[in-house]
Amino acid sequence: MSDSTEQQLERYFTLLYFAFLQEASGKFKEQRRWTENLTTRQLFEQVIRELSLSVSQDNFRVSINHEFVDWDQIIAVDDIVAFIPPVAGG
Amino acid sequence: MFAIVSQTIDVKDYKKQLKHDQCGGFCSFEGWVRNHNGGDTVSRLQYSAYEELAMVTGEAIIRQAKAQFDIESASCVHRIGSLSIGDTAIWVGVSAAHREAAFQACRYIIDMVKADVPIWKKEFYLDKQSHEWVANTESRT
Repeated sequence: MSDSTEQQLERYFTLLYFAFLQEASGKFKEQRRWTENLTTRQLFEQVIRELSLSVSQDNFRVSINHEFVDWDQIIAVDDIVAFIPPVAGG
Repeated sequence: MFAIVSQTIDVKDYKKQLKHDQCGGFCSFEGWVRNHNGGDTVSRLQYSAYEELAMVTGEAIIRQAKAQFDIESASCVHRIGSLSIGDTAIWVGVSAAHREAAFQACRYIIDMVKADVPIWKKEFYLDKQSHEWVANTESRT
């Protein structure tokens, strides 16, 4: 398969960064390569490892396409995923 | 109505929208930026939000308040960006035929916003170079 064909087959989802995750990553958002059957929990573990953070998933919520979802949700192509650190409004 | 704004909250304008002839009471709550937290002297706050999710969550809280309490109207406005000491960060207003429901709904809305709405606060201090991301004790994460 040629490189250009492989590139055409690559599919992505978007990860949004907020609060201290934004500060730690230096990014507001990024396109990440989509893989089949990736759960929000697995993505969280990947991201936390990449950022070398020692935080517990218990202190976060997760959303897909601007709605809260659970940690077993499978990420679809073109989804917009965000990890929600403890909130501090008010 | 739930809103996120980046300028001073114009309380008079929002309050006017809640005034109805059938209402005998109005109750509001304002959250202000205070100059201290846990022994540190705070110089300013920086609020940020995941606006799309904050709007969905905030509007659901207002809808729930209307379903749960005998009120006429309810609004909540949260300011984001850099806020100075004394600035109003959040305003909640509720109008109702009778005061009890207005008090209860107002309390419900502020408590739920503090627990659920994806808004974050970075505290800056007068006597330290560092800043801290602080979390509400009510946060549901």
